[in-house]
Amino acid sequence: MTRPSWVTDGIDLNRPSASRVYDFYLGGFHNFSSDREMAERAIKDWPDLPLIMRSNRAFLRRSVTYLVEQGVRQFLDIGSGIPTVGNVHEIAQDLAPESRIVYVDIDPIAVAHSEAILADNPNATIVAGDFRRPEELLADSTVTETLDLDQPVALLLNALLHFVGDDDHPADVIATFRDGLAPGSYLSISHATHELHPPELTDFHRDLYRKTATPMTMRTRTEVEAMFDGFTLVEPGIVLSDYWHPDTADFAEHAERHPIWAGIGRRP
Amino acid sequence: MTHPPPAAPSDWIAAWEKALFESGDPLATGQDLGSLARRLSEIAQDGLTSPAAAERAGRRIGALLVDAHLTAPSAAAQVVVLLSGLMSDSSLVPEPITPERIERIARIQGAVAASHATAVRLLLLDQQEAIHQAAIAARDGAERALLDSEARFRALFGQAPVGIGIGDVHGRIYEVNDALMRMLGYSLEEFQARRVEDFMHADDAVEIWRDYAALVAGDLDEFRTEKRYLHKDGRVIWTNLSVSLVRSEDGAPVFQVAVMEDITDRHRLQQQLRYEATHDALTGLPNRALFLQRLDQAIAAQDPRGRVAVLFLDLDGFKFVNDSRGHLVGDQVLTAVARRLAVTAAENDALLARLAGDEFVVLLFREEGDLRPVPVANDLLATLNSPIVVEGQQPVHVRASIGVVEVPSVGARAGELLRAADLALHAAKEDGKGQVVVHDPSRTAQQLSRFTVAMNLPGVVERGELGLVYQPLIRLSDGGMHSVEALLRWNHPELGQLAPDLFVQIAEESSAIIPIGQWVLERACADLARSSWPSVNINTSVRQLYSPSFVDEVRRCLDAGGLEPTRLRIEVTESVIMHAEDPGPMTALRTLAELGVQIVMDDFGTGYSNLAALRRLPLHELKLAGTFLKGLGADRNADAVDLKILTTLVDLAHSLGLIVTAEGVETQAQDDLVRAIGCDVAQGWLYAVPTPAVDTH
Repeated sequence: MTRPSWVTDGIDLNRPSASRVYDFYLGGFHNFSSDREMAERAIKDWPDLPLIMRSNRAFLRRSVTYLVEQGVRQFLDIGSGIPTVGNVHEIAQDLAPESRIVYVDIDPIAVAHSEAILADNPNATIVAGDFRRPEELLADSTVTETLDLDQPVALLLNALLHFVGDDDHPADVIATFRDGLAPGSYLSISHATHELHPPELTDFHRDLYRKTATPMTMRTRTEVEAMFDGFTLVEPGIVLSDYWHPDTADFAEHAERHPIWAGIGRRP
Repeated sequence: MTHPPPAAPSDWIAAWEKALFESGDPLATGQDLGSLARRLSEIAQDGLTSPAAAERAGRRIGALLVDAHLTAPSAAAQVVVLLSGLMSDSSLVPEPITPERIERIARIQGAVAASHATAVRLLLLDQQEAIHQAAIAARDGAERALLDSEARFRALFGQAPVGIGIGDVHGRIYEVNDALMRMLGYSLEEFQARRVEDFMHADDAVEIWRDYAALVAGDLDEFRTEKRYLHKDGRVIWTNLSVSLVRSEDGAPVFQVAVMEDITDRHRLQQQLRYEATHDALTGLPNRALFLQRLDQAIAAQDPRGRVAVLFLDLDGFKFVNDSRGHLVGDQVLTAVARRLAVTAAENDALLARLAGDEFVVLLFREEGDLRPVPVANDLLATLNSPIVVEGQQPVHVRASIGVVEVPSVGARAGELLRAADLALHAAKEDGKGQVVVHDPSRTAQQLSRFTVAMNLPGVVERGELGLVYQPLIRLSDGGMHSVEALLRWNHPELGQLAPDLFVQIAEESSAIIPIGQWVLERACADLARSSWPSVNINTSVRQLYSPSFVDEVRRCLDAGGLEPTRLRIEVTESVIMHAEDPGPMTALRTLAELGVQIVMDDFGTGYSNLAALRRLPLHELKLAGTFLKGLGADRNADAVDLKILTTLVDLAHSLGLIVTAEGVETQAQDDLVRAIGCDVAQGWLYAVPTPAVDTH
């Protein structure tokens, strides 16, 4: 049987993917030439980008550590991307081996790669899903088999929401997740902002992502804060990522060069 | 090795830690870089003991860096720079700098660079392999999902009972399913050689192709319609068509999908039903419904100069044709008449309809100008001048009368127009038939048309428009009350009170008489129960006697009023004799008589006056028709003969054990007469006029 000529293939390796570009920034090799071309072009105009990504990764590590310390043992990481070293399950299970993690990504290659990485880990799994369909995700059998939604869950939206346009109403989507999660659950967000840099730079960067399946929408601190509606922000509130529970004082010396708003809120 | 290597000074270890941090993945920095730094600095110092140790130390450092995820080229660079400190820093190097030592440091540096690069290369190959495997897995998964969905699609597409076609927005046809090929008779290749526009039908509604243009332009996502197609063999195929637009991911219109269901049979049936609902089965002419619809449309046009005319045509004496030659011939004559009238109507741009039986009606309507309905009416009559020839029959001469009404269309009312035309028709009949009479508005509305009556009869009981009045029957021997007769009145909201002779016969021709008779029975029994009357006479139609439930209804009404059956007197007319061979009515009458109900022969002498038949009926009483009395008194000689006949008749009735009643006694002379011929009971205005139940007490 031949495929009808009007049906198209869903996977295009010639198109850069945000998760593989991110992997490249972090020094990984889980990427293709189209991803590298785009990342190299971005770095040419904005050499700090790899450092910015590392700052975000550092926030991820510190935030998961903080959440485990708060007693959280369940994690829903949406937009998890290509797993490299030191992913959420490694950090959390290192501190509390019983921690259970569900990764979610929309990129089929990121999902396939995660499946391979997580094949031997009974408490961590990956679901192909779309952040913009919270009802479907909360009802997904893999999610409900891995996580007990009657108990607190940490919802991790790291470097995800700037790939969700205003048309998709991210704050409303978050509110739906919030209502589906037990009291005592946490929301962790890191979000790119254009408030600290000249518009030429951020606009150019945003334009580069037009080529990907996930165009960028940078947002202000106020806009990020609004996403925590119904959550109580933990100290120090929404700050630049390097300022959020830094390991040592000098780690934050270049904080202004890393334009990421970060924060964690708790559902009362 | 002569002595243990010196412990690395803390500031050198700190320098290692700084170098490691700056070159590392921040996630990796979560690990203890301090101990790594201590370990690496010690290994470096161990490497100074021999060239082989230097090689080992360098390889070890490079591998540990990569194990700790310090894979960036800068990590190796930082370490190489750090190692150079071994050459000059006296705190690290207690012994003097020798060429051997410099050579060993260089060996360590070289081995670090080589082993780091080697380890990174392996990592790169592993990760590239992993991501390619992931890409292949993802693609396989997508392919599988696609194949699954394709298989489902193919099954759906191929086996769907509805026709499905897929084309692009330029009208090229890509795919059609089996159902569509069967529906329109073209093969897949023949479809693909055509464009969507080639399936345009000359009679397609304009909207279809307007919607189609909007759809392929991307302005409309879907439309549904009924559309006809031509089958390859030329047949018309009617379909329920639904066309949907398929857009690409960026929203551009790409494909169109047409789904169609063959509704040809349903459509044909609908057409036929619609035709049957609006046309007369015998003649094929428009029927009453269609005529009224057109008349309403003409009136609704509200054109100030418009005029509308209605011509009411009825064949004269057509009943005779039916009676003498049979209904089959009668129908053939009607069909031939209809054909002739239709030609004339068409020539005059008029609508001809058959209302019922031998009644036809013509509608003339002009938005302006003269209608000239009378010449049209004369033309219609003229078409009937030549006799109608029906195969195997003598030529039939048919004549007709026409009533005409013409008014401005503004303000006209359909019901009034028909009634007026009907009145004019009756006038034409009275004028000797074969006439055209134009409606005269001054003619009294008392000439109630059959048409109006027939139109108003249904529901007359439910609307509560019927009433009963009662006229006493007086015993001639002592002047006492023999019984009362219930007389039916129709209190028409517009026409006033109507006597039964105006509507009972029409009701008998339809089933309307059944509910009316039923109502009379109930009402009269109820009134009797509340009165001091000895009994009540009610008039009964033969049609009621045919009703299987009639006897039960009589029983029920008697029971309801707690009445002795003998107090109910059922009046039947002579026409019942016509049905004497029929078991139904006869059984009903006998059962009633056995029950004790009195059976009265009404209006005797107006019809067959079949004396022999009287014996066969279970009669108790005979009412002589009032016309007997009316005839008397005009001619003395004739009167004598009539008197003789009447006296004999009364004697005969008495010999059969019947009471004899005289109806319509209005004068003292008539009173004398009915006594003279031996009547037992009399009824008439001389004794009492009919009055409602309450006043009769």
